[in-house]
Amino acid sequence: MSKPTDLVQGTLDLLLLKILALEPLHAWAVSQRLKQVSGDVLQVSDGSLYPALHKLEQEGWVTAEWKVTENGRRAKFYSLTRPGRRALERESANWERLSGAISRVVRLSEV
Amino acid sequence: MTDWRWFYKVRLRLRTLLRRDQVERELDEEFRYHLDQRMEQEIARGLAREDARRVAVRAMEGVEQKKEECRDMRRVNFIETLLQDLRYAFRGLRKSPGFAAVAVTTLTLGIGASMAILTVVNSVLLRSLPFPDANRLLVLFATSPARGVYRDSTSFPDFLDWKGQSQVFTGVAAYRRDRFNVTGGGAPEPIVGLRASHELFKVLRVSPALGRGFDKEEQEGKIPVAVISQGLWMRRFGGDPGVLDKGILLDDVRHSIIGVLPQGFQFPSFTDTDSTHPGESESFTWLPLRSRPAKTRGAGNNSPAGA
Repeated sequence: MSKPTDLVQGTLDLLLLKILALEPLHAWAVSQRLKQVSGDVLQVSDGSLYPALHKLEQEGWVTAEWKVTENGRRAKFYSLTRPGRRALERESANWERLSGAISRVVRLSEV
Repeated sequence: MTDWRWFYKVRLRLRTLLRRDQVERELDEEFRYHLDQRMEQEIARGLAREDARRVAVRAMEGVEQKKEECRDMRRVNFIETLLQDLRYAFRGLRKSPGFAAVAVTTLTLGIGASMAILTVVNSVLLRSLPFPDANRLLVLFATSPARGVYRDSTSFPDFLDWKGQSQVFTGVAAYRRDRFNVTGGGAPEPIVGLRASHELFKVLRVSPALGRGFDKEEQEGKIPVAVISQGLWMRRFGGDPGVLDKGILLDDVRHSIIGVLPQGFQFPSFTDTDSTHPGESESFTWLPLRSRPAKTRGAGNNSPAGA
């Protein structure tokens, strides 16, 4: 499994779930949205997105549907399922906890 | 909170297995869409068409590799691979029949031998006896190490001593295997059976399905009685409940039938060679074991069973 080296392991799932929670998107749009939102800080290669999305789909967290895009082509739109929504809540809480803990450690001042 | 994920999961895996072509086409289409979009983006930035394609492909970091990773995510790859391997193996075997024959023979002999051993071990060592509390049942033997005899049967008086003087058993019974000729009311036939002491019913915890077992008085009394097996009852008496009023001629002596053993009950367990009618090994009778005055202590052929 390929994972983007710049991302903490597992966080790509969280990012994808969050992005798809806002609206159903096809993979290309997801990649654009990622770049746009994170301001190019989070480097997810075009290719790595697909195994990640397919994994979420196989896990039952997102479901896919073929729809016609605004430019008239068929594309595979991913949207969150109810288990996916619960997974997102869980993962978000985890992330808050973890990042909060790390922040507190980083901010420790030397006495 | 019900977890509906299995629903999505099963549906997707079935789809992958049963509609492989379509799933593959969709994978292609999804990637092609991405590449086209990326190309357009690069062309809009001023790249030439060929350069744009190259950039788009490079950005994927290996299109085929990523597709394969997507396939891995479906978790059924191993089934597809297995089927391919099987087909390949089958073709290979067909090409070299000699090798195939040797391999098949080796496997056959190996599996057969293991099965045979397991069958014996299972019936002899693993499967418990078909009696309640079977692990508390044991067969007592007389031994005489000086004469090199270790699993000998015993005499009736010795049995009485064992029974009277031992305190470790809930009950002790004696039995002797025997053969009888059944005559009258149908074709004569030889059957196997037991001469048993009345305690055997208690030791094996068997109570007749019909009638009763013999008691101490009947064992010592003059009136011949018999308890017959379910199989014999069905076969010779047609399962007639009135059989208890009838008699059965065993070795030309009329015995009153006082009981019928339960269905499926077998003691001793007969192998087919024991029975003169293979497949009718459930036909047997129990008669009371008589003390023979002529017998002396230390000689005899009764096997006491303790429990």
